[in-house]
Amino acid sequence: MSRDGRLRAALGLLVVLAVLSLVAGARYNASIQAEHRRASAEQRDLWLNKGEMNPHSAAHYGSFAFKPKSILASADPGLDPYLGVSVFMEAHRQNLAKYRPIEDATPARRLGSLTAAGVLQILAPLLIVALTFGAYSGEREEGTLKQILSQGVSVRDLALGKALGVALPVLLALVPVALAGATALLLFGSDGLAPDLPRVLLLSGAYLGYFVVWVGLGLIVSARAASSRAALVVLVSLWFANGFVAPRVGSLVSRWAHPAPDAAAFAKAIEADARAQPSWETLVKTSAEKLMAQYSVDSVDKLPVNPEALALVAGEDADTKVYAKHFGALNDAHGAQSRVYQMAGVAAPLLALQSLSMSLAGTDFAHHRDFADSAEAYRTQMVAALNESIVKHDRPQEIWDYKEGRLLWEKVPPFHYERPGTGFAVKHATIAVGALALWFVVVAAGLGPALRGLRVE
Amino acid sequence: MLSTILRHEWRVLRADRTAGIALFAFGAASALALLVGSSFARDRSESALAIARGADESLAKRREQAAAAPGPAAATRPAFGPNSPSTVGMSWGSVVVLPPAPLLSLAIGQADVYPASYTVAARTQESVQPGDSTESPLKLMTGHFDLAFVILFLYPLLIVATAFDLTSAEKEQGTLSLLLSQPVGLRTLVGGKMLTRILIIVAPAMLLPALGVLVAGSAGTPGVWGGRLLLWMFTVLVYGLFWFALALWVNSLGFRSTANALLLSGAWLLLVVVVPATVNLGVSLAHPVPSRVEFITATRVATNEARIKGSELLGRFLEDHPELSGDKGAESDFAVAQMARDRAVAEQLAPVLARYEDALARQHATVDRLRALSPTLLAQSVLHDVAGSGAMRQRHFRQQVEDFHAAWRSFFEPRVLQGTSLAAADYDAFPRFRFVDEPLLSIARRIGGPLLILLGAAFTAGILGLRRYRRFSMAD
Repeated sequence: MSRDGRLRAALGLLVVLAVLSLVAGARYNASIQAEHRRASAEQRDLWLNKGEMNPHSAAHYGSFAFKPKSILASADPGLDPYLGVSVFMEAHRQNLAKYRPIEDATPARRLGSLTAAGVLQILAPLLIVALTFGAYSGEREEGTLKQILSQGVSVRDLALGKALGVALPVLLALVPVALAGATALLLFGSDGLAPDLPRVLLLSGAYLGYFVVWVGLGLIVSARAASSRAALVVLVSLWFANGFVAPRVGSLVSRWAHPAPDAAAFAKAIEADARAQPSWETLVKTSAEKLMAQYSVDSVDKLPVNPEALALVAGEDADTKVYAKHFGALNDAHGAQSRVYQMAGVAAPLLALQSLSMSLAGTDFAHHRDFADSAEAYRTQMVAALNESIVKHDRPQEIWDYKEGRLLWEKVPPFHYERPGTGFAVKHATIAVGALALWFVVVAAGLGPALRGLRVE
Repeated sequence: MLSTILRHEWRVLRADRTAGIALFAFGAASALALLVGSSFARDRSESALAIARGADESLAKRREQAAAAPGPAAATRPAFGPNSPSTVGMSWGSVVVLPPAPLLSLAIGQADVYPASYTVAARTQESVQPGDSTESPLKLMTGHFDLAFVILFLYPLLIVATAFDLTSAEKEQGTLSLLLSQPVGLRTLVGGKMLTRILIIVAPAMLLPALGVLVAGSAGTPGVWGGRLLLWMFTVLVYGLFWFALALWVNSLGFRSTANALLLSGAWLLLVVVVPATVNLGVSLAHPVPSRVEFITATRVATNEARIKGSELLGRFLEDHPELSGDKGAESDFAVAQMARDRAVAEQLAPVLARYEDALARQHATVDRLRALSPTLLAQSVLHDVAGSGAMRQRHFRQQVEDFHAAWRSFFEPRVLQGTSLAAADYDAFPRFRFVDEPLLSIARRIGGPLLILLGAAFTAGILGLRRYRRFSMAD
């Protein structure tokens, strides 16, 4: 009993810290979100007021896209610290997202930060272990198990009673965090509670399912173990393997299954493909021949369109395809690694919950890729609009010397990115959901046989 | 007497399955960790070599092109290309590479996140650009299964597993009073038991990295990593001594074995997991990482203004450089105008950059101060500093890069202003970047503080424990 009191105090402290991190983090994230919005507006302003320049210079001037910050990211920061926050969109090349927050940190940061997700994923199961390891073995050792069963209490009812007895303190951990999450959305979310409420509910459900798996595991081990001590050792070892070893091993396996090129090889491959494209002179010649045939003239000077303008467009298309191929392969590799990590959730339920939690909080790789792809789509659209102006310029000989102004800049719409909805999050974590469900089924199915073989003394 | 105790304890521990299993698990984990670490270090080496080789090759190619250029060698204001100092110095620049950390195979640290190469150009604005990274974010999040992880997380558990029932087991079995009926003091007995365990656990933990480094190889010469390896081994010893001392003190309180196990595991959970995580949370709330976004916007604003005021800035710049007065070439040289704009932009950005660096420095200083709250934070910072995969070596690299940047600029700026053409002989005179690692002594001096705190804590716990053993009760 006194041990339970100390455990409850420890859990209470951790829940307080988790809620604090969630709310303070949500406030901070809201300020980051506001800053990104402000910066986007400033970028748009700078774009419109950059003065007069050749449209191709404007394409090189480019634009910045800033990744939006979700409020729920304070509950589970996921991959956010390890992903870039801004993408520079310019002509002729696609860029990786830059400025990962982790780059400015010291190694101490890699020991993890206290987050609501961390508390619920790693520390709450330890509490469950502490509450369940002696459920049957303890009573057996004290002799009370025989007494209870001899009074006609069925093994099944006993199991249910035990499970519910553990559930209360665990729920006491989950409910304040979920409420804090909803409150944070209400207070700091720029779009209010409604759009992200399904995510909060699904997150609560996911963590609840994870806790149920641990309660079941604890009861099974307690029923089958030779002694309380053995049950504790087994459960703590499982807890340690699940919490500290499995993520690292899972990440190793995912990279072994789907290796991604390192930065130098990546750049080199793109360079090689780019050099293999037709040269500028070839593009100009091809365009010239095509145009001369189209307009039935015999000299370039008589053309109403400058073949160099078309060559610019053709060159841009070729470059875009090269980058799309390599960036696509890189992103596909990282996405495949995430999926393998989810599959490894079959061996360790934490990996499945981590993936599902990150996805619902909007901090997984799929959400990042959605943003990056959006930025790339905007980039091609922006450059195409500028190139079109060059193609249509009424004095084809001057396409590199003439200047355009605000009227053209306004024709390029501002970059606008909407975060995807809950369906997107669930879609990209289906494997994780399946793995968690499998654990649920296995534990539920295993509890019966474990209790059937229960030794009474 | 002590040797008898040692021999007896050795036999007891050998028969104990728990100790055997724990040691085996530790050994297996260390083997895997060394594999992971050396594979990462090998990849890093190859990558660094590839970047350096690529840079050398393109430099050699450009040198050839410069030598083969037609026309008089003294032609002024050459066009864009390998003969033009503005092209070579300002547009193309030089790639500088950080050689992999000396003991990277033992501790990967932040080496997977910090830039390992920069492109340095003779401009002031944004002219030191870090190389890109395609590192998997999932891998960065989960952390590495390297030897530092094994030492920081598993090693204390191993110590707890073998030392939690130091005297409590014998007390519960009743053999403790039997032993003490012999002419041996309790504290000698305790000392002997401790020493056996320390020898069994700390010695292999210290020697494993040496084996790993010898088998897997390491970056640089033994002169570079030899001393660091000794410092690593010493750190492992001190970290182990802390946990043994803690176990000693807990045992001296006289509780049952299960209570000891709970207390020590609780201490592990608190000191290894919860306190570092809470410190990180506290630091992120009190000193959040300054935003790069502000810097991006400020850069654009400054660049915009500089472009619009272009000719005015050029005029002022030429006034500051009277040697160019009357040089019509300089007035119409794009590169000279670029330099003028760069100066203006750098001036405007300097306070923004200073604010950023300030906030970052304050955050790092706070983390350093709060290290003393957890032995794991202390040990981690020391292990990474010694291995070379922490913030200090990166800072050291960055300083050398800045120095090289200054040398590169002072080589090219006069040539850009004068518009002199680059010949092959000039290429041979280019400043060359060569990274020099910190001397062992400065690292040793830096880690002295944290190690002293750890030793102090171990010493205190040990003394408290030994004093308690004087009042130790044999009865339950």
